[in-house]
Amino acid sequence: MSVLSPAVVAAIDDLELAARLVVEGLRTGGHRSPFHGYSTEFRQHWPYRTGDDLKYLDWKLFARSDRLYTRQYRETTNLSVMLVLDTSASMAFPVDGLSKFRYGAIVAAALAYLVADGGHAVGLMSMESGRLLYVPARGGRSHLRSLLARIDALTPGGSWDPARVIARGAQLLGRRGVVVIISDFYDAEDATRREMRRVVRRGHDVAMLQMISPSEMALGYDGHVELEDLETRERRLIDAAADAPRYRAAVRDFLDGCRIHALRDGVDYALLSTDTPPEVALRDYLLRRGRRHAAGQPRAVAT
Amino acid sequence: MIWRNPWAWAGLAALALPVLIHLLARGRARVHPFPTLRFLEPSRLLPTRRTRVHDVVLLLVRLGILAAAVAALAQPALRTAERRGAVGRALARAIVVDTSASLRRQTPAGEQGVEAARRGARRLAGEAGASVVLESSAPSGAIAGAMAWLSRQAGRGEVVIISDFQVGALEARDLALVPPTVGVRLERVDVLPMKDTLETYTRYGDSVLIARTAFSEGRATVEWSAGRAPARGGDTLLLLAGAGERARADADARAAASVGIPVPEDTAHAVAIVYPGFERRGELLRGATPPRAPWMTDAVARLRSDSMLLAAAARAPVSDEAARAPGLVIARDDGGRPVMVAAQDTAAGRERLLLFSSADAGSLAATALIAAAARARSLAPPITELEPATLPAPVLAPWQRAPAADPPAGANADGAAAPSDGRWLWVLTLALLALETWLRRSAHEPTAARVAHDRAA
Repeated sequence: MSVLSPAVVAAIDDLELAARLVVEGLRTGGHRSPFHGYSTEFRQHWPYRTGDDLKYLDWKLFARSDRLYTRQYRETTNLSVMLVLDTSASMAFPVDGLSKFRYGAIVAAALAYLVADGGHAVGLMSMESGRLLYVPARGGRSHLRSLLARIDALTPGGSWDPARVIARGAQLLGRRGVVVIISDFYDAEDATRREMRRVVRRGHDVAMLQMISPSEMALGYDGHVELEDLETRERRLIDAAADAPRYRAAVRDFLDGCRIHALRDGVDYALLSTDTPPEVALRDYLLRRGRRHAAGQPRAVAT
Repeated sequence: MIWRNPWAWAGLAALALPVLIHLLARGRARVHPFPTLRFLEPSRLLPTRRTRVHDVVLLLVRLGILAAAVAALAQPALRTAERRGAVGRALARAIVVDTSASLRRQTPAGEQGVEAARRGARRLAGEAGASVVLESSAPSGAIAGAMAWLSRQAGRGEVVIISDFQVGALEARDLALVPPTVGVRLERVDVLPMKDTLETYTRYGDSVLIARTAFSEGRATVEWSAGRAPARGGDTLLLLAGAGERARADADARAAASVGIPVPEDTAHAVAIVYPGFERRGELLRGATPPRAPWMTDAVARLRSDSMLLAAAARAPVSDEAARAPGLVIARDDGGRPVMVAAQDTAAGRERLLLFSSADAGSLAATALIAAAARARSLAPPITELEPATLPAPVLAPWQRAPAADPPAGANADGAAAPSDGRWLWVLTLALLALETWLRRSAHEPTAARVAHDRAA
């Protein structure tokens, strides 16, 4: 199975095309959407493919035709998914190459594509220039295109208020739905966790997709360098070789903390590294999410 | 210590480079945008580091490398006592030897004056560190060349003129060319007064007046008497005239003989004057070549400077044949066209200097050419050389001076003479380079503590 490398994805300017390619990659791998509605009615039979859940296998049809078919259902009550995308300046890293923001935007677009393709409603909540950017969760092809265009128009910059964005997104989602937060989770860490717990308690399904860059994890510089915080513009002179071990340990602690808190708070967690092909990262995440929901227990994954 | 190339010190400005590199390299670390600094501890690298110079030893070594290289380029020369003495002893002498006719007279030792002058020149040249000997019949004219040579020499300079110092041979203004720091030494060659009585003959009608001039103690005594002129030597001056102009050509010869005083002629070399009407003139013109023999060119030079000939030729008729003659133009008319041309060919059985003339036989120009040819072939010294008086010692004394004890300030002369000690500075530069390399490499090697810390992390 061929996958789109991060470099190829970064080279695709059209976000919708990139999302579609990612989703096509997912379908080629035979992975279905893990987002299921709450009430379904029979829609059609579909030839059985390896990996399909056996509980949907139509044994009666198999007895009659000696062929394996699964039963497909139409969700009578649509699922609503609210994508929360971090637009803080820290997401612009790395400034040269595929940034965390662009990677997150592609993942968000692919999820939107996937959700909308399943007949569900998908919306967007973000922050742009200190103001909330809201796209209501709706279904349909035209809405999807509009949503993708809004995502594509977003640019990272400044700081954002994750707790406020998440709270407002969950509030506007209305009924129970899925809140997918795509961020590096560097800002207002405690407030963000509190808000995610609150959203989970309100019955929403919360997914935490944490973006990370390999160069960010490794602190891959030589000699004395001066690092400038993308959000605060604060500068700090470091000896990269000497400071790298402590830095990497601190980053690992932070990521572990995020994962543990997510697990404890009943939040789906996935660590997406920008050097992983988006469809690979999404497939792993969706597979684990599907198994987790089948088991009825949220579990953190890392790609 | 002197510096043979002091301009190289301008390279000291390069000393600022290592300092700037140290300051800028440390102070201006590369700035990289980064998502967050929350995982980075406040650095041990203090901001004050930017203005402080670290690795002082390395910096000093680098400065030393540059300073040593610049000093080596400046080519120092240590002025040790030995070298100083050597420089003091170094004396450049430009020796001008007077070879004028007056020096042909005998010295009291029986030696020819010019030989005594040359022997003195060799002695003086041997005493000097560097020397050049210039021989000239006009010593005053050779002083400029001597100065030009001295200006390129190291150490003290001295110009020496060896002459009998006839009146007029050297004047105070001639020595004005000599800089004050250059010494002037005038070496007199004592020559005896001319012993031989000079006989001159003057035709007076058919008779000859003989003037016998005796020189003694700065006086010339002339005794006149009637007599016969000495016979001319063979066919050394041949007049090639046409049949119709033979009589006039002979008249020209007689007229020329009456001009001036007869002088001893060079009988070893032959001259022929080709008149315009000479039957074989065209044949001679075709076979002639420009004069090459030294005595010929010498004679042509004398002819060209003969004022009487030039004045007569200025108004002489011009022949196209003469203009086409393949030789050296002797005289031109007022319009600049050649009137007389000298060439070389064989005529009447021997190699001759041919003087093609456009002047008609019997003309003033033809007569002037015969007289000038006789003067040009004269073996007698120029009349000026017969001057018996010489410049007295009290006149010469103020013109002389010793060379300056030290070369002029700022001159590199003695520095140029002294060998450069820059090689030792190059050795020092290489040693410092090796030290710098060792320091740099040792600074980059991680310390054991740091390696242990990284492994633990």
